Amino acid sequence: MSRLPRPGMTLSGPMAAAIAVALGTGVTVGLDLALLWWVALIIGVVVAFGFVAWSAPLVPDRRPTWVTDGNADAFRPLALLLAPPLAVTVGVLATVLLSQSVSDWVAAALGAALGSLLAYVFFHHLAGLLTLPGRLPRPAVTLSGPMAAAIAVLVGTGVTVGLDLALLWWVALIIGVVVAFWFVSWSAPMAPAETRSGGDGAKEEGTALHQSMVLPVALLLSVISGLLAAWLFDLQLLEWAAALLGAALGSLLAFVLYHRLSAMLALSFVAVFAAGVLAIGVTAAVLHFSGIPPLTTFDRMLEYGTRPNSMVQIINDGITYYLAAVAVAIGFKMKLFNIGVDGQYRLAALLAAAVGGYLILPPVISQFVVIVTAVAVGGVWAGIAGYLKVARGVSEVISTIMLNAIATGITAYLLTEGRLAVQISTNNIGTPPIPESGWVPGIPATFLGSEREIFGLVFLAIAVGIGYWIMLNRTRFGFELRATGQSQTAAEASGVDVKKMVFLSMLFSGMVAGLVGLPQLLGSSHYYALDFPTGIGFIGIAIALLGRNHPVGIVFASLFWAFLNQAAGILPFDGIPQEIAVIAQATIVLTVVVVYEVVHRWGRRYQQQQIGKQLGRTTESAPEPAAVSHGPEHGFTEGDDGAPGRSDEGGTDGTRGGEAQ
Amino acid sequence: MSQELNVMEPVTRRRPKGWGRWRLLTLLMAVFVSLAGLRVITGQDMLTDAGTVRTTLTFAVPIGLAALGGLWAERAGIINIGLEGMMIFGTWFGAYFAWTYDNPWIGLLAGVFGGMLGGLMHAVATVTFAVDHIVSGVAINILALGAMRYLSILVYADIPGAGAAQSPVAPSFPTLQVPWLPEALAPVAQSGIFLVSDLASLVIGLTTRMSALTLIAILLVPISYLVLWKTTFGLRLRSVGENPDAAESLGVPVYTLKYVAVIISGGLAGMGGVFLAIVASQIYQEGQTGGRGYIGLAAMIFGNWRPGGLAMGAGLFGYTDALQVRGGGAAIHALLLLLAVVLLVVAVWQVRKDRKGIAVAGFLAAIVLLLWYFSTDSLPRELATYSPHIATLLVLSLASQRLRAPAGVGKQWRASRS
Repeated sequence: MSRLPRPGMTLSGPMAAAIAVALGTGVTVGLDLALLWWVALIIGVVVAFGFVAWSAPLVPDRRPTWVTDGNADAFRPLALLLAPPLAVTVGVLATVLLSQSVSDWVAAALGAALGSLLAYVFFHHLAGLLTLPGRLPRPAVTLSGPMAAAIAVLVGTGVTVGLDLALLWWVALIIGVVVAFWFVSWSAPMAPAETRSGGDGAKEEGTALHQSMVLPVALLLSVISGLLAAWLFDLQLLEWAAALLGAALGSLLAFVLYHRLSAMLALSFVAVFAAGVLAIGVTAAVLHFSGIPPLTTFDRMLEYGTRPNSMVQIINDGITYYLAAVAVAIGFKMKLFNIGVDGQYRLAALLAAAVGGYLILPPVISQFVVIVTAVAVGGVWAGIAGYLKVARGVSEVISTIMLNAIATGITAYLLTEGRLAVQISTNNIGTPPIPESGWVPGIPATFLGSEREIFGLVFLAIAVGIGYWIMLNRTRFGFELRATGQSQTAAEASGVDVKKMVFLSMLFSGMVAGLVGLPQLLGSSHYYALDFPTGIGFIGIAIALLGRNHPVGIVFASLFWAFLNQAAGILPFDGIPQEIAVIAQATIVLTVVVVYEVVHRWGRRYQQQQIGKQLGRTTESAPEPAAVSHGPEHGFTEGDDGAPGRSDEGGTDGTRGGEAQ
Repeated sequence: MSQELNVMEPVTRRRPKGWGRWRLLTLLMAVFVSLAGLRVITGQDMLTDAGTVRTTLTFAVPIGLAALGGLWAERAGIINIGLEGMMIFGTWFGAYFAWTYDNPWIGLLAGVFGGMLGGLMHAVATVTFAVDHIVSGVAINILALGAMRYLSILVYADIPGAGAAQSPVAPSFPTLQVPWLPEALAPVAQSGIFLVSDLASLVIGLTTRMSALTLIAILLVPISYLVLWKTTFGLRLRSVGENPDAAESLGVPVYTLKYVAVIISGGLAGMGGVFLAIVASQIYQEGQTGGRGYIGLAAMIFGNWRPGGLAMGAGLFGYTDALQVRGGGAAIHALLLLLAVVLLVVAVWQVRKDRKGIAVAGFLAAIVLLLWYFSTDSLPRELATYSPHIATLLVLSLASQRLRAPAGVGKQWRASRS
């Protein structure tokens, strides 16, 4: 777009914005006659954005930071990635809201106008807007960190509660969190330098990447978390109290993220966000071409997925998926592909169920023995693959696939009457049910407004998650694991016993995999029968990818996955194939990995350019002394930042980490 | 990365010239002779009769096609674990178009096209965007399963006898038959003489009621060999899989070749899917591929990334599958004896090469197998089904150090200009 020739004239800012709005609205209204309104709107807003990008050099002194920063060329596409989806999303949302009061095409026109305007604002003023109050005078006092955070929370909550009287609660909350964010950015320089230097965000402050990428992401995340929290609290509390708590949480997050969010983490969020928008687009297109209206479908899914009973189901499924994904992630960190989680958990669940069903043990011991059995069986089954890899050099991908099939055979062999199974119902056989003393009691989900129970083993999943985090970040084993995953040769050269690491990580992966079936077994079904859920291992692979192998990322990924599964359950009643959820899931996995690769390539190139720039500044007998003293230090922080950023990344990233050097 | 961790350098030994060329044939003959001997000893006629040969072909062809697909992709350096998903595309498109146009050949084209579509997706992700190969493959497998079920629900909603999980009956390919040979050989096959009657059964099996697609699939093995090893295009394609940097420096279009290889790989897997849908069952069913894409990959590794080897691997899977389907446990039970003898031979071999550990393990395993053989009459059906998988695991763990993957396989390669 920007390669098109431009006339030799200048445009004032409002003029350019007006043209962009007119263009976007015009295109939308025009296309509205031929296409669906939301397709027209997307095209309209994108056209407006294209115009804004094209006309940017014509607008004096209104350039976005990354245009003026000569070194940031590599980074420009990255920022462009964030702005159009945001503008489109807001436009679509506005249209949906407006269409309740005015006719459809008017709503689409207004939505397009808003989207186009936002496209202009985001392109030119995003960074400026977020740090707008930074130009206000500040009193000459210093604020300690906790103090600033407390004030931010107070400001955000106060604004929300005040506006709550006049506006809808969620509008009040958004405004409150934005105000809190402004306060944080305004008060940031008042904090003493030494307390601020600890945060990743503070180190990168002032760079183009931080201004136009990290800050918007931080704001977006705080607002979204605040809204989600308020919505969850709303199930229990009064509306105003929920909004208050949500605003408090959002404001607190605004403070934390402003100071702590590192560029690499922000990039990951951008990748997930962009991939989500892409996947929704693809899913909508698939639905549209199958003759199903996408928006009503999404609406229906959202409504059904947020019912109290659905939420309990989502949490319960999420627990199972989480364990499977952690099992896979342990291998991924080592660049080991444990495709065999599927077989490991099924075999483990069968044998654990048999132990629980045949051995009558006192209450606590029974559960303990069942869990230990499952862990041991999962570990042994994965250990075979680990041993074959270490001792005989067999690719773990192939051996675990074979072991999956063999596990299917063994479960089928053992699960026959006369061996381990008894008749459960007329057409189902399974292991004898575990006596009630051996169950794990559920947690009543009344706080979600549901009669059902959350699996008691949710605590096991939490423990596994925490253990995984500690193992990865706080132990020597975890360090060696990550080191081996990123570069096997480098790890070997520094004395890591790679073979031992391969075997152990396979073993641990299998042990966690053994736990996968237990929440279901001890929490609800109490026996292993023919209808025990299968295929969770493969879901675990996808979720580990989606959550970037991070213990917290996997939580969201597994809940999201479970949400899609559960929400799609309503669709067959409307004559819509439920499998649209699977298509959405697979698309989002593919787009997430692709976008993540692309975003990180750009991000790394940008960092390299930054470092190069600073190195150049120090060697070239620097014109201003400030830069000399600042240069090496700043260069160090950039390099320093790369390390934690990379350690957060998935097993897929190590080789390119090396390549970038 | 996901191949061997610890590969011993292949020992280069001087072999008499021409031995390499005949090694495969010698091995095949040895297998055949020992099967014939086993038939005479155990009296399990099913081990080598014509029906088994035909069924073996039916089971081996889809695995072989998937393995060929894996070969094309991995020779260009791309691990294709998405073969399973590409086969699913093949089964669905093959059955749907064959049924719609009432013509199996259109179904074949559509199925191959569907597989190529999957291959294209894999290529875009792995080549253009340098995504990890296994990751992209797993995503494609998930996508294929869901997308095809989605399409089935939409397309087969009002068709009687079809639905979310299956298609209507599709027309099949014509079958080929050599005119008088089978009738002439039938008495010989009945005679039960060692080797002679087995050979006659083999010939009968290969000359009666062979589907046209089976013939095409069998021909694709030597064609792949000729293209990959005897043409400039093949040499370049393999060079991309071995050392893309070197290939690039010589002006080989690395990205293009990788794309071509992965798309061909998808097409072959799709053809395997068509075979399953149209020849093996005349109907598309959900879950019809049953992990054959993965098995194909295993068969290819088993065959040391060579067309002849992977054909043998596919044959092994096909043969045990066929025995299991036709005779159940008894015939496979007879194979235990063969396996025990083979293990004993391996053990003796290892003693000669002074590797005590493996030798002892081999002896022990052989003795266990022998005890198992003599103490039972039949193998449980559930375990018999999975005997090929156990065999693969055994063979890989015994032989994987002699295997050599293309050097650049699984690497996320990026052109130097970007």
